[in-house]
Formats: sequence, C-alpha cells, structure tokens
Amino acid sequence: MELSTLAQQLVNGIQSGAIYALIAVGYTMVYGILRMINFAHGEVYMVGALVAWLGTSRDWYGVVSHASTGGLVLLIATAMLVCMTLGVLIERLAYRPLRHAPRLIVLITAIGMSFLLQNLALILFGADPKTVPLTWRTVQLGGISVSLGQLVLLIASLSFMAGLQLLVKRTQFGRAMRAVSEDFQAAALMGVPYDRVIVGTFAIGAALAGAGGAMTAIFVGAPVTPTFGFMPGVKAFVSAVLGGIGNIPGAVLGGLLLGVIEALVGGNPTLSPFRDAVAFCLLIAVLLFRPAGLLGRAVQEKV
Amino acid sequence: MVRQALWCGVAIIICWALDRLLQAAVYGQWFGWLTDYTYRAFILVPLLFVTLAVSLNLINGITGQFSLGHAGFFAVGAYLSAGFSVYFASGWLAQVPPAWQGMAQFGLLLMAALIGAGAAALFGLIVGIPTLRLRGDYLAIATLGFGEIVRVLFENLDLFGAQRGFTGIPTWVGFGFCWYALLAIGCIAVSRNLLKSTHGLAFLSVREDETAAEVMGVPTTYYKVAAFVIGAMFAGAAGALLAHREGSIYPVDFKMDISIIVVTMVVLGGQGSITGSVLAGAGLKMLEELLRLLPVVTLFGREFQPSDFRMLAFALVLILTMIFRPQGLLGHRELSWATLRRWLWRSPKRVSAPPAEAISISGEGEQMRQP
Amino acid sequence: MTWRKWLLWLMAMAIIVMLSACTSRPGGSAGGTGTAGSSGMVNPAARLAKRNAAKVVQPAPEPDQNRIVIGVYADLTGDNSTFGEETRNGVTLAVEEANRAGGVLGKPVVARFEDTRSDPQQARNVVTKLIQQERVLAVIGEVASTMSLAGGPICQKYGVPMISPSSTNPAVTDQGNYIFRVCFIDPFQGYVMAKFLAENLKVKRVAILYDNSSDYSKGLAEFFQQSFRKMGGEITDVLSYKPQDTDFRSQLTTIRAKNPEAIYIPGYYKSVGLIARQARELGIKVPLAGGDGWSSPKLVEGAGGPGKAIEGCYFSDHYAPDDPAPQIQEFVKKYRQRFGQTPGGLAALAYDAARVLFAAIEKAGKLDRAAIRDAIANTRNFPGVTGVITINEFGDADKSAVVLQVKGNRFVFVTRITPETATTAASARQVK
Repeated sequence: MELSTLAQQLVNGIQSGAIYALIAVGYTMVYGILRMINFAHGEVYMVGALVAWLGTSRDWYGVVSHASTGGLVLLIATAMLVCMTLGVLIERLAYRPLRHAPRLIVLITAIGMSFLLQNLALILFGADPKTVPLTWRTVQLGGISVSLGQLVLLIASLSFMAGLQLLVKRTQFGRAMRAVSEDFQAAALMGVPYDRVIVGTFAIGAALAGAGGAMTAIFVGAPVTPTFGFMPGVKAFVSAVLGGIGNIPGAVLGGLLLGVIEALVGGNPTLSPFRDAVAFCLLIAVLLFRPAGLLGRAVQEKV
Repeated sequence: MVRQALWCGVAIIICWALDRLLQAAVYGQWFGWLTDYTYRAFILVPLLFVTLAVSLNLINGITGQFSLGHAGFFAVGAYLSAGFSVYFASGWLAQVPPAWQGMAQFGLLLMAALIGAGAAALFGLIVGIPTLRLRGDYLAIATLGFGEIVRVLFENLDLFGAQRGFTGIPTWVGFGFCWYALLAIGCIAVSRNLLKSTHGLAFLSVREDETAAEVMGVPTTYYKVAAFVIGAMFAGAAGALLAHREGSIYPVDFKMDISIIVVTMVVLGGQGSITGSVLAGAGLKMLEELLRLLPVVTLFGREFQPSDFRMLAFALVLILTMIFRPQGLLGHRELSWATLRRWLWRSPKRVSAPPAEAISISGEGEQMRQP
Repeated sequence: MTWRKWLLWLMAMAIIVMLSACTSRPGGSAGGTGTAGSSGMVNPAARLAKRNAAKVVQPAPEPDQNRIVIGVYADLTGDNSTFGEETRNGVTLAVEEANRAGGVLGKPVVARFEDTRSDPQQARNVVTKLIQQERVLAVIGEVASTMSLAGGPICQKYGVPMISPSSTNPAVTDQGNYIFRVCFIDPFQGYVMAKFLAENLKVKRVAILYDNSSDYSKGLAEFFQQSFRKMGGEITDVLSYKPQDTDFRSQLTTIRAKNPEAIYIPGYYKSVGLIARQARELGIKVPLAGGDGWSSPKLVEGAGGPGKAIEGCYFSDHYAPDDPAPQIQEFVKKYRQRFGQTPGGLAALAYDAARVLFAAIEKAGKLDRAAIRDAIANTRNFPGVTGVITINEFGDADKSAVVLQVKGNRFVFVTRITPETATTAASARQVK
C-alpha cells in the first residue's frame, strides 16, 4: 500500500472511530455506574440523526437557515436536547423500576427498549433513507483529501470528549459520578444523591450520542433509517469493551482503534465483505484474552 | 427403556395420523379457512418456534446462560443440512431405483436433519467452551456476536448462495406436519426428562447460584456446555426442517430479530418453564399471523399493515413483562394435568385455613397467589 | 414383558414404512441442483433445462370468475420503497385504464398490493397469501431480483403466472415456465455499460464497487467485468459494500490508489448517493456508472442535491422519459396527470407488465391460469412503452436499453444500445 493511501485510510478510520468513541463513552459511563449495558444507546444515536434530518428537511418558519453556522449549531444542540430527554425518559420508565432486579432482567429490558425505539421510528418515519441536503467542500492536504464536514466532525467530537473528561475529573458532579461508580452503597451513605447522578449520567451519555448522530447525518451525509443506530451501537459497545468498560479514555481509544482497523479491512479487496465481522471477532478475542480491556483494571468477582 | 420406546412409537403414530388428516383437509379443501397458507402460518411456523423457544429455554431459562445467538444455531443447522442435500444427497438419490425412492428420501432427509443437528451442536460446543469464562451481559453480547458472525459468513460463502440465498434445496419434508410436530415433541420430551433427572437439578443449580453449585461439587462447566450443545442441536434440526420444507433459505431469515423474538417467547413464558415456552412460542407466532389478516390502517398519512406493528408489540411485551412480571406468565412452574387439577379442584381450606369470619371476597384473591 | 417388545418391533416397522410414504409426495422433490456457485454463469441450455424442468406441484385455488384479481408484491415501505411505489403506480394506471375501457374480457380488474419490505421471507409469505387467500389469477412482481427469486418458486408451485416487471438477474425466469419478465437481463445490461464506457467514453481502466447483499448487483458486476475485459478494458479493483454501511471511504481510497478512469457501481440508489458524495470528497473526479438500480427520484437527493456529487454520471435504464417517441410521451403525460411525477423506468415497466398480462388474458379468452401462461409465453411484438416486447423461450423480453445521464434533477437520454449487437443476447438465442 502506498503511503498516501495508508494515511488516507488512517484519516477515514479516525473519523468513523470518533463517532464510535462518542457513542462508546455513553455505554461506558452507564456501565461504570449501573453495571448494565444500555442496549438502547445506539437507538438514541439514531434519534439524534433523525432530529438533524427533521431540522433540515423543512423550513421551520425560517427561524434560522440550517445552512448557516448558527443554524447548524442550533440543530446539533436541539438534537442533543431531544436525546437527553429521551435518555432520561428511558431511564425513568424502563430502568428505574428494575434498579434492584437481577442484571439479566435489566439486560432483557434494554434489548426490548432498543427494538421498541427502532420500530417506533419505523412506524413514525418509515424505512426509506433520509438524507440531510448539505454537501461539504474538500480540503487537500498532500495526498490526503478531507471534507470540511469531516474536519468539523472530528474536532467537535474530540472537544466533546475533552469536555467530558474535564467534567468527570474537575466538577462536583463528576466526583459524585466517580464515587457512585466506585461503590454504590458507600456513596449513598456518604450523602451522594445517586438517583440524580444516574439520571445525569444517562442525560450526558444520551446527549453525546445524539450529537454523534446529528453530526453523522449532517457532516457525513449518511442516509438515516430506523436501523441506522444498530450497527454503530454494537460497534461502540465493542469499542467500550476494547478500551476497558467503565473507563472513559479507554472508550475513546477503543473507538478510534476499531475505526482504524475497520478502515484497513474495508480497503482490502478480499477482506472487505467481512468488515462487520471484525468488530465481533475483536470483541470475543478481548473478552477471552483480556476481559478488562486495554485500559481497564481486572476486577475480582465478589462471591 | 421399552416403555419410553413405546411412548415414542405412540407419538409418531399420532403425528403421522394427524399429518394425513391435515393433508387431506388442506388439499381437499374441507374447510374454507384451512388453506395451505393458514396451515403454514398457524400450524407449521408456530411449531417451529415452539422448538426454538423450548430449546432456547434449556440454555436461557433452565441453565441461566443468557444467549442471544439462537438464530446462529438455527442458521448453521439449516445451511449445513441443505448443503449436504444439495451437493451430496440429491446425487445419491438419483441413483436409487424408483421403487425405493420414498424410502431413500426418508433416509436422506433423516440424515440431513441429523447433520444439521450435529453441526449446530458442534457449533454450540465451539461457542459454549470459550464463552464459559463470560457471565451475564458479556455472554449475551458474545453470543450475539457469534450469531452475527455466522450470518456474515453465510452471506459471503458462494457455496451456500451468499446473499442471493441458498435455493434449489430438495423439498423432502413435503407437507411437513409430521416432521415439525415430532421435532417439537422430541425437544419438549428431552427438556422435560432432563429436568426431572438428577442432571436437571444440576442445570438449575447453575442458574440459581453458580458459585454455590461449584462448591457443592456440580461440574458447572460441563452443564453449561451441555445446555449449549443440546439447545443448539434442536435449533439446528429445526433449521434443517425449515430448509427442506421451504426449498430456499436466505441469510436474512436468520438475522438478529429471530434471536430476539425467541428470547421474548422464553421470557414471556417464564424462564425455566417448558410449558411456558410452548405456550408463548405458539401463541406469539399465531398472534403475529392474526395481525397479518387484519385490514390495512392509515396512520400519520401513511398506510400500515397491522403486522408492521408486530416487532413493536414484541418489544413492548418484553419490556412490560420484565417490569411487571419478570418471572413470565408461568414463572418456574409447569402447566400439567396435576397443576390444572389442583388449581381447579383446590378447596380454599387446603392452602390455609383462615378463621370463618375472615373469609371475604378480598381474601380469595390472597389465596390464589399461593403456590 | 415380551408382548410389549413385540408390539414395539411391529410399531417400529410400521413407522418406517409410514414415514417414508409421508415424505414422498408426488413431485414433492424439486430436483437437487442448487443455484450456488458463480452467479455469472449463463449457460443457455442449462437455463432452458432448468426452466422447463420445474413442475406445477399443486394447483392454486380456483380464481374468482366474476372479476379479474391480480396480485402485486413490491417493496412499499422498505429500503427500496420508491421502486415499490413506482411499480404500484404503474400497475394502478394500467388497471384504471383497462377498467375505463370496459375491463378485460368484459370483467372488472382489481389489483391487490402486498408489501415485501425487501425481506425474502416476507416476500414468500405475501405471495402465498395472495395465491391462497386472495385467489389471484396472476401475479406481478417483484422489482428486486432477490425478492423475485423468493416469490417465484411459490408461483411456479401453484401454477400461477408471474410477470416480474423489472428483475434483471437471469436466474429469475429459470425458476419455472410460469415465470416471465418484461425487461432485459443483466448479462445484457452489463454489456450495455461496458460498451458505453469502452466505445462512447473511450475508457480503458474501470474499478467496480458492488453491493454484496444483492443478487442483482453481484451479477451485474460480474457481467460487466466479463464484457469489459472482452472489449480490451482493464478492471483495476473489485470491492464490495453492504447496504447498511455509511462509510465507503476505505473502499474508495483503495480504488483511488490505482487511478481508474471510471467507477462502475451497480447498486441501489440508497447507497449510490452516499458513495458518490464520499468519492467526490476523496477527490475522485472520474465519472461513475451504474445500472437501473439508480433509477429513482431519490438518487440525486442522496448525493447531496442537484448539481452535486452525482452530476454527469451515467446509468443504464429501460426507457428515457424525455424520448420523443409518441407512446412514451403519451404515457409520461398520463402518469404525470395521475400521480404528479415523472415516471421512472420501473413505473413504465410495471405499466407494461400489467398490459402484457391483460393482453394475454384477452387472448386466452378465459380465466384459466394455464391458458394465460401460454398466452404470455406467446407474446410477440407487443407495443410497450419501454419498447417492443417479445417474450423469448427463456421467459425474458428481448429489448434494447438506454443510457441516461444525471443532469440536475433529471435523467437525460444519451444513447440507445440494442441487443442485435450484444454477444450475450445473441449467444442466448443460439440454443435452438
């Protein structure tokens, strides 16, 4: 492979990996706190993309032109808000009644939630692909071509993740979050309002996934369908496991790594049909050989 | 031994007689509503899903190993048995003299079904062993991954028609009722007998508390793998029958939706309850087909077949069951003549003997909940 | 104890005999040759043999004699729903016209539509339902070859004539002598684009990116490759994608490294738009080319709007709406009046399929499925909107194809390529 091709593939991989990372962060935070896999997370990402499409598909009384920078920022913010509400609702309606139920029951509920949202979107919006009507100029950097949209997407997602890291490490809410994830009961005894922390975690995770969805629809131009979130959701989960579930920098690393590996596999003529299987093979390999992930620490199971 | 074999014989004869009767009714158009379509939709497909649900119940319900990869086992059985029939068996059949065709076809179909079951069981072993180190949600994701990998593999194997679907499979199953019913009965019988044997307790102990079971000397590893192997075997046999009845199979027939639907059935019926799985499996599939018969409705300015709502309904059923009745319809209990009789003839005094003055309408409700 | 054992043996023997009788319904085995292997093989003799070997296993329920009920199965709400919509509109137009003219054989025509959602299992279900519950006289559908391959065997099994308006994979009509189509087949379509690229655009090096999940796309990619190589061209790369993918950059980057002069993308419109966008974003400026899977009003939308990524690209299709021929202009006018859109190739083909069917029913003179089958098979020089339709012994229509170019929001006629010069179609005719 030529050097410029390799560099281009790396850029492609990092761009799709950034999206995986944005979703994976939500998985990892919820897992860190509740020890549950929020299967419906991928669908939240899909809802974000749907909001972006809805925003650009009609005029909305000419509030702001969606082609302007302000309009786009507003659109992404709306998507984040909608997804945040959705995330909180999912937690309140489906997961909170099961807070003390066995983990498998919560898992089954989460799978049900994922399918519920998918089919709700199917019924409300139909299965035909929906595209945001915007295109982006291409920038040439040596042998590498990057669209302006991709560049924005990359910078935005990296800054989102940096912001999240700051939030977790520097604020009081972040400290509460870490406390709950360290020891649920001890944190409650120390006066941490854990219900609020859980709601907050869901809200942040959902907002990030929503931003990811909206940006994929706007900057990549991917057609939105009800199953739009399923594969990215599963792959983001794989990224979270790859990086060590419960670990935010790990999720980012895992996402970027998965994106790059997929790009390299997808670019190979003989391997390209198997691109979707890569994530699963990686998952099983990690679970078998390094279940704590790349950056996670091994936890001894309590008996 | 002789006794069991006699029972087997009785089951086979009854199924065979029913098969003939149904065939006469369907092809002779005895009833207006009993067509090939309704027969397939309300009898065959539910039977298939009963087999799938009961076999998954063995893994999910009885042994407590949450598997989301049942469609994968189903696919392995369907594809490999179909491959055997297309590439080997039909060639052999062509050399058989016409008088023996029927017998040969029967033998080859049995062989194909066994190959499907065996391949799926082997696959179950392959999946079972490495995933033993995983528990709960990790296991669920890993099995989901295995299921998807199987599908991606068959999507790309030209030998099996890839995404075009594997067509031209000899339709040796023919009418099918006999085969489908026997497989379902076999699956139920094996599950029930396992559960009643000492092995059954071992399976249950793995579900209830793996660590405690291990401490008590139950080889948990062995039982976990055994559950996977047996469950996969029946799913594989079901796949083999599907392939040889429909004549063509497609990778999308085995997508994740199937796994989710079967999980819904097991969960709704009550994890661990065989009769629960049977009821939920047959019931949900029939309900789904009933939805298809309803007229088209217009919502949000678009037209819908009521069956478009079926996945939505499955999802809702799953969530609501988990929140309001996590033990499912039947819980761990079984529906049997004994329980039915007890339930019907039970006198209020036997359960508990409330003082005469305390018997009231609300008091009855309390007693109904007693096991 | 011993009587039990004896009974057991007796029962075992009886069961074996019973079960072996159970499986062998007359004609129940549908022969054992899989279509597996290369989808690119087109051996005319094998095709004919396969088509004529299929039997009607069990006649469908008697059709309604007072009116003519036809079943249509198409993707109305799935991934390729614009195909289904166009098909439905085309059939509806033909049915309404026939009823205004006093019906067919003096009987009113009713069309029943069923949705396949681009799911083969669903296609099988709805075709069975159409035949068993609605007791349709004949079936029209599907657009996608994968779906027609799922529904076809059922129509054949019950002896119900099926006309696919637009499935172009050769295997579709090989499934039995009750299956027909009114469009050309992929070996020809692949040849058309190969010839156009090699002779009209003078292109020597082409890369292929096909949809790994569809028979249609895979077949077309192979036929194109064969024809283009024969014309002295070079295929630089063959890569594939899946319809649910949203990132094609890795494939396109590999393609870009070898600098092809064109990229052939025989996929469906949903992915093609995004592929075009990402190709342009990667700085690939060469023309893209495709087949009739592009023919949707949503193609341009998916590529970011008119004048953007897909501008100036070429695809082969069944007819050109801007063709000045009177029958085409009349059809376009009628369609616009009724549905307010310009009809694409699939609408025109669906209209033709319905009219070929009606003509066959008239010719058969009675509502008898076998007679109608024979009448369809004997269709000669039927004046269709998409060209003159003659059904050949394979159940396919010998027709010419057009090459269209995307300009703004419209598809503009570039050239017409006829099967007279097509080697594949000619070799197919040599069988006799």
